[in-house]
Amino acid sequence: MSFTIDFENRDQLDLPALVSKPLPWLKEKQRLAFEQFKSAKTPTRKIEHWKYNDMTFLKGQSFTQSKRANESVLTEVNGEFNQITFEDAIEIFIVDGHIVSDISALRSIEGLTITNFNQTSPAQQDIINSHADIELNSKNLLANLNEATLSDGLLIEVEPKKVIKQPIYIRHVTLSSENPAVSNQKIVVQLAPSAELTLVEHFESSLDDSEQLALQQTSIYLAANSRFTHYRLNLEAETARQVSQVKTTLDRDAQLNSFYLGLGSKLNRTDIETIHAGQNAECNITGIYLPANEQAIDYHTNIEHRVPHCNSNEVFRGIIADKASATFNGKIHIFQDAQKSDAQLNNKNLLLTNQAEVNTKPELEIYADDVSCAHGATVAQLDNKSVYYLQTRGIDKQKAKKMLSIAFVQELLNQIKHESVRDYLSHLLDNYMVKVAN
Amino acid sequence: MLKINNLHAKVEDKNILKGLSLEVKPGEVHAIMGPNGSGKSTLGYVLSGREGYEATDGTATLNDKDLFDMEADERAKSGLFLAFQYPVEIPGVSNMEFLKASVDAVREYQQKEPLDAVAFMKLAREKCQEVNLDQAFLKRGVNEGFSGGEKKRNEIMQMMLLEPEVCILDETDSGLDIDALQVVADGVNACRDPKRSFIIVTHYQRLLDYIVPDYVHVLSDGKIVKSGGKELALELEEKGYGWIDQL
Ligand SMILES: Nc1ncnc2c1ncn2[C@@H]1O[C@H](COP(=O)(O)OP(=O)(O)OP(=O)(O)O)[C@@H](O)[C@H]1O
Ligand SMILES: [Mg+2]
Repeated sequence: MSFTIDFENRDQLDLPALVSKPLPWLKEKQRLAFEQFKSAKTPTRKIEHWKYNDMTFLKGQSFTQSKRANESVLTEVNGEFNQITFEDAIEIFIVDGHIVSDISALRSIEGLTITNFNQTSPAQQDIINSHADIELNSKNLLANLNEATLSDGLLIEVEPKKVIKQPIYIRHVTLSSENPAVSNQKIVVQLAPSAELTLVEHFESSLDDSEQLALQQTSIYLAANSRFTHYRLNLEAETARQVSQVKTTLDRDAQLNSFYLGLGSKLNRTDIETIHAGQNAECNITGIYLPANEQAIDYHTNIEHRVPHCNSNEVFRGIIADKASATFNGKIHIFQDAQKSDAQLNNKNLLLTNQAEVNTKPELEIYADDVSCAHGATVAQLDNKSVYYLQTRGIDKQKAKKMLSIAFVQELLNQIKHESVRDYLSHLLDNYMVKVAN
Repeated sequence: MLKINNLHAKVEDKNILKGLSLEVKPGEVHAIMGPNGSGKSTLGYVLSGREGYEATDGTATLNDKDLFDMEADERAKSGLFLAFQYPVEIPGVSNMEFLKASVDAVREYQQKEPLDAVAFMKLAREKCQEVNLDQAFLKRGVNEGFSGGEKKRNEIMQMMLLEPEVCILDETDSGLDIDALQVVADGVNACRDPKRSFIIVTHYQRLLDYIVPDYVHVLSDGKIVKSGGKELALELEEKGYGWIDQL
């Protein structure tokens, strides 16, 4: 069930030998993905797609696929990691890429179906196949590697007009390993017309020095008039590495509200692809990234307006401390037919030190003429005058800096609708600030 | 309580204060007047500990403690308060959160019992009323979008909450209409106490009709060039600062 990847010599790798428990119905897509993986150039800073990422760790390193832990590992996981306290969430554990929770034993909720990839019906397999977007992955060999070697995954479906009140709370946990390990995993979400769902993805990892690489993809289809709320909370330990993608396709009148948080990880890259494919669709994407020490956190977002009358609103803010770095790449692509598109994008960054670094790269590709599009990116440091003002009122410098930094991202936190998530993150932010202010 | 002796200070290699001496005793009100650029605000900044405003010679003590040995926040906690000529706006930090953090810090330093949230709210509301600011201001960002007069009243409210020993008011009267001036003056007068003293920086005699000073000083080119009683303010207004140069 495990495989070893040697990036240097990947052209000699053989797919069937890699995946010992393949998903036969996904074979063709996997073969294509694998071909692309083999022929893609090794990521270096010379390749535009990887310009800001230090991927040198791939060189000369071979990774073995993480082993499946059995359910007993959950006791350990529950002890080690703290969780968001929901009143009524459906909790699913994914450990080292493997679905460890017993899906068949989950509470059953009318209108909601959660299925393990290897338990799917032919109709469900067609859905999963439709989400295997090799084209999308073409630039990203790690996305292709993920797709090509999948043997585990989760399909989440909501039936028409069903409003699922209980959030699905997925805890992605990476445990320490002896050898350099790669984990891979995919989640497919399919909302039928007028359905509603909230998905909370919470990423955690053990703090250690093992060489790990977590690959993950979540692919979402929102049918007409459906509503989807998505949280992606990357709260791994500082030593973690993750490369992931989130792709959402919105049909007409569909609405996406998503919130991203990046904290921790020495390398954390999320590519967010959002496609407005039906008129009057709307997305609100909010994100906060807080790299400290020598961490690197990247968000690469691409919002496509393919049809007229869609709205997109994207706001990302980052605080970069110590010698950390962040990249925010915000692309808006408005197709020729997409008249009356409204696309707003705003990115603000706060550098806490002189060594902190941010690359913010707005990209506009607009082929329609009747659109409203605003795009802004700023980089600033804490305002000395504000720090001084607070000090003259008795607040010490550290606390003053903390208050000002929190204020910078608080606005975005305040918009979080789920109180339990908001409370959890406020607390986390407090701890982060204590750490950074010292 | 506040003793300034032969103070020299520079900003970005430019000497601004050039041997300023002033002693303020408990309960006294001192007015400082003087032309634009003479160093009035600089004095407030140097005393309160603003970065870049460096004392190069002389001393300043508050209750015999060397001010220049303390961080800006320690000076505030020791009882020094500066009401700014131009208060900064801090969006994202609510006025309430700010005031609470400030009062908490000062009380803790002075080893007073902390105020619980309810007691603090009550106190803050009272003070708001005293300076005629709507309570909605407590929820807004610190000075965010406040009018000039609202900012000044917010400064006075902070002074009331913190109960400092030495209050420096830097042109708190500038830009106020007559009603707001009355509110600010009432606020200051309500704070007057045999143990509390004030340094009031102003260009206008008008304010001194409401807050009657014990002494008036004229600051010119970084030094106090003339001191007198409250009648000096009247004389200055009549004759203009040009008159000073001829002294
Ligand atoms: N950061 C700075 N850099 C350079 N020069 C400065 C700086 N701050 C103040 N100064 C200069 O110091 C001098 C004194 O300024 P200050 O603000 O203390 O004057 P003031 O007496 O308060 O004037 P006003 O009546 O206009 O408020 C001025 O010449 C001013 O230009
Ligand atoms: Mg001034």
